[in-house]
Formats: sequence, structure tokens, C-alpha cells
Amino acid sequence: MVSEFAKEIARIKGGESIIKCIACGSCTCACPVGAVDGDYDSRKIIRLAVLGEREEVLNSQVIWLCAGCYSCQERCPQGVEVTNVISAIQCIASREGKLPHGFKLAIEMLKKHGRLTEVGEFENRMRKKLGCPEVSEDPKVTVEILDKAEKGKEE
Amino acid sequence: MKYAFFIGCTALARGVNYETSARKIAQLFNIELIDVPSFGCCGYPVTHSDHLGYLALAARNLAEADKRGMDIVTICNACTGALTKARNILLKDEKERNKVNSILKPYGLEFSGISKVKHFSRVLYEDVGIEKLKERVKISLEGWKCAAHYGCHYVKPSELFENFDDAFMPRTLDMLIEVTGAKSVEYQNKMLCCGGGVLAVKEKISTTMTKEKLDNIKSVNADLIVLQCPFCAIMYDEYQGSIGDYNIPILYITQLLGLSFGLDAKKELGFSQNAVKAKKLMQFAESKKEASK
Repeated sequence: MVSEFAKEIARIKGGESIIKCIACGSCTCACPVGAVDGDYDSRKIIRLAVLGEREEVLNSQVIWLCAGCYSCQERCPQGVEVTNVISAIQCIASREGKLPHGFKLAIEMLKKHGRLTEVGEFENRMRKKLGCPEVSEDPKVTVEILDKAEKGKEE
Repeated sequence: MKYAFFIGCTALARGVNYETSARKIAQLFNIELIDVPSFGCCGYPVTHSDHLGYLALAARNLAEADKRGMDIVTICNACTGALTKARNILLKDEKERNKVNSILKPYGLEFSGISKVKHFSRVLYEDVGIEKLKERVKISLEGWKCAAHYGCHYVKPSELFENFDDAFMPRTLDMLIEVTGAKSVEYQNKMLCCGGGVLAVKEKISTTMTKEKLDNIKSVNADLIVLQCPFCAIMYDEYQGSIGDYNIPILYITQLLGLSFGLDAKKELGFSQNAVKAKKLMQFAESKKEASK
């Protein structure tokens, strides 16, 4: 039996492989974040999701601790795209307003500067000194693309 | 050889030493790096929140390269991974491709998938080749012990990278290091992630991961850490002083190669931008240069 929540995750690109999980724990063993902070356990997150514990998973703070290193995905004997499944879960949580502050700030930067970093006079002086072309900020297209994607999701 | 040069946000502002040294190396081997001012964010920062937004941001860049009929070369691992993954998804999934292309249409852009994505180190390894690189060496760095840090998205997930290198025991960066005559030393848990990906959420986890690698490298007495991703460099170089008393210089592979090719450390390779100063190495290169005059 596949839970409704697992199906919801599987509808997001990269999340499809969740249904192949046999809960062996290879992902957890390979995880460098789990080695530092035992609260982060990808097997547990995926198992809860497969069982349909939607609220528990989405409200959990630990789903945000994935470093995105793909060690788990590389080790999975079932071909579960573990890192991509975690990202799909994060995307669902984010849609419900649960994106952590740090990631929100990154998106604000992106929308303000068109990049994750600000490139002003100081940076351009340094760039010029080292023989790199000056760059300008043009966040318009980035903002428009993100807004359209936001709307496109609902369609 | 001609590539559309995707510098990426981090290198552009915080890794100009990397960018400039990559440009200089490219010149030496007739790799033409074409600047594309309309390149934007690779999409990685929104992978946690907006899957379609990620694909569309990545596709914008891929389409800019498609339009020019050029492959993309990157110098950031996160950009490499994000762009390659998006390209793979969009090539296979018509529905996602149509959605993304309808977002891009007003800008005269269309993802076709003609252009491929390659990391600059991979270009050096595959397109130039180790032997050609060796022929250029003017200053041998024999006697120097380097610890290679690959960074995750250079080889993982492996299905994205056509097995040009092994995901668990990669060799290409070690080989590039050894072009210079330096030795690439082995150390414990070599493929450990820098921790940068979780920095925005829980800094303590990040810096604990960074510290573990610095400790492992210190215990084998490496003189330098050599890497190829500007975000990893933030963790090991910019954060190093606050994590502990290591004083291990962090160099980009392009800086190390450039030095052995006889380029000027400060003027051409941006050594002044590195937080942990590689003074001894610069002095070593200078004295070798003097001796050969």
C-alpha cells in the first residue's frame, strides 16, 4: 500500500522513486549530516512518508538538514533518489509556508540582485583589478521566471 | 575549443581568484571562454522550495547556450550539478520541458538540450589532457603535499556525469594536482562533504563537518588543500580561522596549476584573495623562478 502522501511526493520530479524504498538504512549509514546530528535520519523521514505521516514529516525541522551531498542516493541499493526525494518533501513543506528563514533570505537575495551575492562597486573594482569583466545586476528576468513558475505549479 | 563561461554567483563575487586563474589557464591552452552577460542563477538555491522554478532558472542558462550552439563550462560544483540535473530531466520529460519552455518563450529562449555542461577541471582532464598539461610546467612543486577536496556535485549523483570519474574514489583532481609535481596525499574520509549545503539552516552542523575534514587533513601533515568549488572554499578558507588554529592554505586547482606554469601568484592568480595566505608556497615559486633566470 502506497500512502497518499507518498503519491504526492512521487508527483514531484525526482520524488517518484520513493515507492521503491525497502527501508534498509543504507542512506542513513552514508549520511555525513546524520553522523554529526543523529536527529537527521533519512530512512526515518522516508519511512514516515511512505506510511502517510504527512503532518509529522512536513512539520519536522529535520527535513531541512540535508546537505544535498548525494552520498545516500549514491549508496541506495534500490535506486531511490534519496536526495531528490528529500528535496521533493522540502518543496511540499515550502508550499505550506515552512521554508526555514535561511533559505528564505537566499531567495530574497536572488530576487533583489538576480544572484545569491551582491555585486556592487567594491566587487567590480576587485574584478577589474584581477582582469575579470565588470558585471551588472539585472534581477528582472529571475524574478519573472520565479513568479511564473509559482503560477505554473497550480495549473 | 570554445565554451560559454558560467561563472556562478559565488565565484563571481567571492571567488574572483578562482575565476581569474581559470581564465588564465584557459588562455594558455586555447580554450576560449565566452562571457554571456544574460546568464543568471543556476537554480540551485530554489531546489528546496520550488521545483519548477529551479528547472526554469537552470533552463534559462541552458537555452542561452543552446542559442549560441556552445557547451557550458562551469567553475562551481553546485552550478555544475544543478545545470546538469536540469538538462537531464528536461531531455527526458516532455511535460516539464513544455512547461519550462512556455515560461522562457517571452525571452526568445527555448531549451533544446544541444549544449552540454562540464566542470572546468573535467575540461582540463578530458579536453586538454594530463600529458599536455605536464608539458607546460615551468616550476615543479615537488616536495609539496596537497590534500584534494573534490566537492560533492563534481561526481555525484554519478548518473549525471557519464562516469568520467568514480563517485566514491575519484582520481581526476588528484591527477591534476600531480601535474605540478606536488604529491596528492590520501587522508581519512576524503569524500566528506564541506557542509556548505546546510550552512543556511544549522551552522553548527556545517562547521562540524568542515572541522572534521580539516582535522583529518592536518593529521597527515598536508601543506595545502586543493579544491575546485567556491562554496567549499568559503567553508575551508573563510571559516577556517573561526573553526580552529590550522593555518592550512586553501588553493583552487587553477591557482596551483597556474603557479607551476609560471604565472604570477598575485597579479594573475589572485593569491591575495585567499583568506589563509599561501606565503611559503609563493616564496618557493619565486625562489625557483629566480634560480632559473
